[in-house]
Amino acid sequence: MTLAIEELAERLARYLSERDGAPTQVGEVARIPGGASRETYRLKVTQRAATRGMILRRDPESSLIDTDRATEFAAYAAAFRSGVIPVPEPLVLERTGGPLGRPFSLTAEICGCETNIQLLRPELRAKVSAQKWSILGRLAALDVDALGIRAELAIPAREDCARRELEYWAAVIAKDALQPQPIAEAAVRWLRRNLPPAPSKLALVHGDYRSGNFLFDADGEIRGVLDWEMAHVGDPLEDLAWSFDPLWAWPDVQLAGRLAPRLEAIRIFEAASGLKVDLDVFRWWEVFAALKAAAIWVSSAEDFAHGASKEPILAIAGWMTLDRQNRILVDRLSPLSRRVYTERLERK
Amino acid sequence: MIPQSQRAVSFLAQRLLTHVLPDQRTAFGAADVAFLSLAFEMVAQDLERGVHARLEDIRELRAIFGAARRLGPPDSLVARLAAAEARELTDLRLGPLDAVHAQHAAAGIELHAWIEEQRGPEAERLDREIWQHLERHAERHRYDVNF
Repeated sequence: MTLAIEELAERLARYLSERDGAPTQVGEVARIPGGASRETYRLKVTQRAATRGMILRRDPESSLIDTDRATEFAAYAAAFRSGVIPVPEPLVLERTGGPLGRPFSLTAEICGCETNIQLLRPELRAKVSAQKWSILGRLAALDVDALGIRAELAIPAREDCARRELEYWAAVIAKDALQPQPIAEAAVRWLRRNLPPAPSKLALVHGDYRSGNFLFDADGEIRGVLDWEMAHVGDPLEDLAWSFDPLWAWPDVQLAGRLAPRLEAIRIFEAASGLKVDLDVFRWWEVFAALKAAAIWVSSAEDFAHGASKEPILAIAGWMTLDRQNRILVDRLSPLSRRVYTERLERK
Repeated sequence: MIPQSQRAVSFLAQRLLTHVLPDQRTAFGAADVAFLSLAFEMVAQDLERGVHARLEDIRELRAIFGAARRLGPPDSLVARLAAAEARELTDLRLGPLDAVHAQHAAAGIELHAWIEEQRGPEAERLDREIWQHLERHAERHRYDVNF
């Protein structure tokens, strides 16, 4: 069901009026580009003479990522409650189709910020990178048992983290591939043969921690970490490796997330988390990150071909980003690799 | 017949950027048009090279299948390789060619998994050949787009 902007505003206003027992107006609704896994809108909600900017995230007909909206909301709420991770305040979760036909959530809008790291002034790179990987370190340091997420997020055994994530994404590729994927399949076999040891602690893993998924202001302050739809509990190295994937820095692949040399980012993460990164173990998570991304792109191509949505971003992801991810995987795994896209990390 | 079809589609992609995108009234609409243009550009590139890239993949895989026989793979795998090799490359429309290409790629995956379990210099050499093939395969199918 596609809703016109006016219809969406009217239905949401009626919903909030009934829910909060106060007449509510919804205006200035604008759909935000990107956000391929959810339909995302910026809007103003007026209630009891106060107007507040909010972000509406509505499940799409087809998505890059098939996850439960409640999981994402629980992760947002846990991060917000922690007080050490900047996230938009989670406000409303509607789990049923309800008034908008599909599940949705509302969070507070954080104004005056950008997500596109290419718009960051070069002189602010060091400031943003220091925050980016410090925030991730603080997330890794949080006590999972104290986060109040057990009802929504499964807590795996530490020794199962890597295998569980690998088998989930390997199954996505097996289910969704429109054609055989020889590079991704080689990666799955390599990852199965080389499973890492259990992490020293479990962490709330954001699942998509990368440039483009946090808001920064004109002074280079990170104001909010977004897009928690792949959040889960697991090995804290998973997020760190994901944030390093060359795809997020393309074509400047030498800097992690277009921001910092990888070893510098690791140093920042270690200082904030209190964890020591074993580079041999970390290599497994780097390969896994590229494989997980490939699985998402394979799934996008399948969605575009057979799903209800024909959003062009699904095609772009399924064609162009899968091409790049294949090159990254070959670069990481081939015994003849020329290391075009990925460096081998070694401490001096 | 559309003459110079790759260029034609590429022109259409550019036209979207120069004539349709500026008329969009919302950021979402503009992004949508930009993505469409990008998708058209990729279609243009595939239009030009699609048959060649698939045929090259198949040619390389057949050479690897031939070399693999010397290592004595199990009968079931030999049969899979032979079934792929038996497919004739007479219908070069993308649909039928994709089916033949997929059959070779699937047999190649099975062969690579078997090779990884073998020991010795011959197996190592073939593993390297497969990786060289995968590297060339990835390069052959790359999209050169500005994004």
